[in-house]
Amino acid sequence: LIVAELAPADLESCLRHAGLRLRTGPVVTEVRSPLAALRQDLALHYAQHTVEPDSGFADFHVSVRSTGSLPSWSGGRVMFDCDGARPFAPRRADHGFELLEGGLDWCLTNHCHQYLIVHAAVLARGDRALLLPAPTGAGKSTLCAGLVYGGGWRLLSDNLALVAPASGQVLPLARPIRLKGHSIDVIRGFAPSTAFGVETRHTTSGGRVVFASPPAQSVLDSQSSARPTWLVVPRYDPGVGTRLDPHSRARAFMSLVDNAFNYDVHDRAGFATLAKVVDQCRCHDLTYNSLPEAIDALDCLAASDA
Amino acid sequence: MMAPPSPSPADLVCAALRQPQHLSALTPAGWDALVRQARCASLLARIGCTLDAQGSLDRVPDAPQAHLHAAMTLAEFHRVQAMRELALVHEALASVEVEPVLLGSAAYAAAGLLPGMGHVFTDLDIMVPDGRLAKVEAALLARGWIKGRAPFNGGRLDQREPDSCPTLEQAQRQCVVVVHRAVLPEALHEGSATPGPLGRTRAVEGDTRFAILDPADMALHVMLHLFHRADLGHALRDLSDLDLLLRHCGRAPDFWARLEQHVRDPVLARPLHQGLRFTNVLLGTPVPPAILKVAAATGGPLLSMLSDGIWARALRPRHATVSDGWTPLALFALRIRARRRRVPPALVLHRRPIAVA
Repeated sequence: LIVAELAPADLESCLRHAGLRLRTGPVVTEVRSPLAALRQDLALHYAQHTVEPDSGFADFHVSVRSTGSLPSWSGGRVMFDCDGARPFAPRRADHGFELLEGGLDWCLTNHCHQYLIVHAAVLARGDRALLLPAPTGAGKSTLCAGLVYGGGWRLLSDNLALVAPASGQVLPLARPIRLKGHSIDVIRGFAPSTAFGVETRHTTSGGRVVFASPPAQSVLDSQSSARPTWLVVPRYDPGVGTRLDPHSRARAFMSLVDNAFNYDVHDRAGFATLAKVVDQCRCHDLTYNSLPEAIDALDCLAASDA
Repeated sequence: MMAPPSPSPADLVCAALRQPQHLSALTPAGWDALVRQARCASLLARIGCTLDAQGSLDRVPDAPQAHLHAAMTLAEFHRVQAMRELALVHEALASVEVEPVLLGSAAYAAAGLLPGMGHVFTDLDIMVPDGRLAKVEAALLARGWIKGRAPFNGGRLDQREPDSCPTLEQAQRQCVVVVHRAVLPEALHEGSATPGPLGRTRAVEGDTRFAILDPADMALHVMLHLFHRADLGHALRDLSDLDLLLRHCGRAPDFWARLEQHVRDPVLARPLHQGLRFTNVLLGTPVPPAILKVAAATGGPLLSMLSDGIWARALRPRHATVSDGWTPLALFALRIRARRRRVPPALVLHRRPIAVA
């Protein structure tokens, strides 16, 4: 059963009462929310995702609901809750879906230490993965969306690389891509047929945010892990041309460490895991000022290894 | 109105710690509930370690097993961090020639005691002689620690400590050192019949840098802090620590006799009684019936019933599936009681009760 196969009334009832058990790659999350706006975004972006039965095991149980502190005519405030943990400040009701997405990331980075988790976009050609580790603001999500909607790359994740320590493989999540600020216009112009959610304004980051749906094929393939093959450190810089330069393995290793959420938690195993990743990869630096040129450069890199 | 102290059937964490061998029969839905409760009680890693010690961890279904492994990885990280931090604390205190006594989780970690198994912690509790407190503080401040949460931080109470101990924070490593002057909180010490300070100490085996409390005093310290503290968010974890400690030290010949010395002390009797009874009932800790009987002979029946009902709720995982309508009231009552001695009621009421979803 996938979300798109649920009748709107069933989806609403599920989200309001028993909870919707949503599978994203290796993770099953039970989501509850009475918010209509969140339900619409969820139906759009998670249409192809599997709904798991209530009788099984769910990794996390989360809800996005009203705090009850403001009257409903004022729009109210909503909060994210995971079994009593409320890691974020309450937000405006129309930011419910964004809060849910942030909450799902929080569950992974705070609890899933069975993986080494790196702040990176992950894409793939077949079972060969491209890792783009970078801090927020480096143009990682823009490039990721460009590669997915314009370059035909498979989406594993736009911001979290889950690396299995034993195998060094990367696990897919195939969740919506979060775009913000100027990059929204870039992607709307570049791939107009993409399914975008409702744009929200004045969020904590101060700007606009919109989510773009993962391609159906990426969701279908979300049970297949991929082998790290290319490691590219991206940086958007409008002042220079697009360049893809080889990068030393040592520096690539450090870029993974700098962007890892739980490298220290894994101690020596963390070092061994990232070393395994870097050893399998061709490492590059990508500076870009044009999205089509950046996509071409990465397509060429992948083709040269075919 | 209030239930007698018996394990709640909904409390899967206590059941798992009491009879880990029964976990092999748990359904996926049962694992779902257990992982949620154990995560809220900070006992997920301990359940993992218990199963690992039995050799049955790899028979747990993959999805919950991954969470047990994740929690164990994090707990091991905390232990290693704590040991590194303790080495730095030792270095700082050696410069002013103070040998600290380690309390609580720091002691378990340093002495390799069983309660250290799967313990998730961030604060290190040390005890130093009263007169050396200023020097200890200065030594830590000189080595990069900063003054931490004051007892009356912006009008809000530091709710972790029943007595106001200086806390020092290491900003980069986010580790907090709590410096105690005595085992017994000052407010309680006045009423105690125990002559002199509680706290016979001994050196950690194979590590001359640190001293820890004598096993019986260590158990008493856990009970005192558990049953007198205002913040009961980790009450079940503390009880599980006590369970492991009693199981580990209970085999020593003079352990129970030493505990029995305190059963008639006006201050220590009640926490001692509660500690022994609740570990015995909820976690199946073997306690000699004789000491349980002597300890039980304190307090009236009505008060005991009320206090049992309250504690039975406080000692459950802080999760909606094991809470009832009385839980918020029970927690509120215990918080008032813990603070009543030294804090004006207005400040006690400053914080809202812990919300139960």
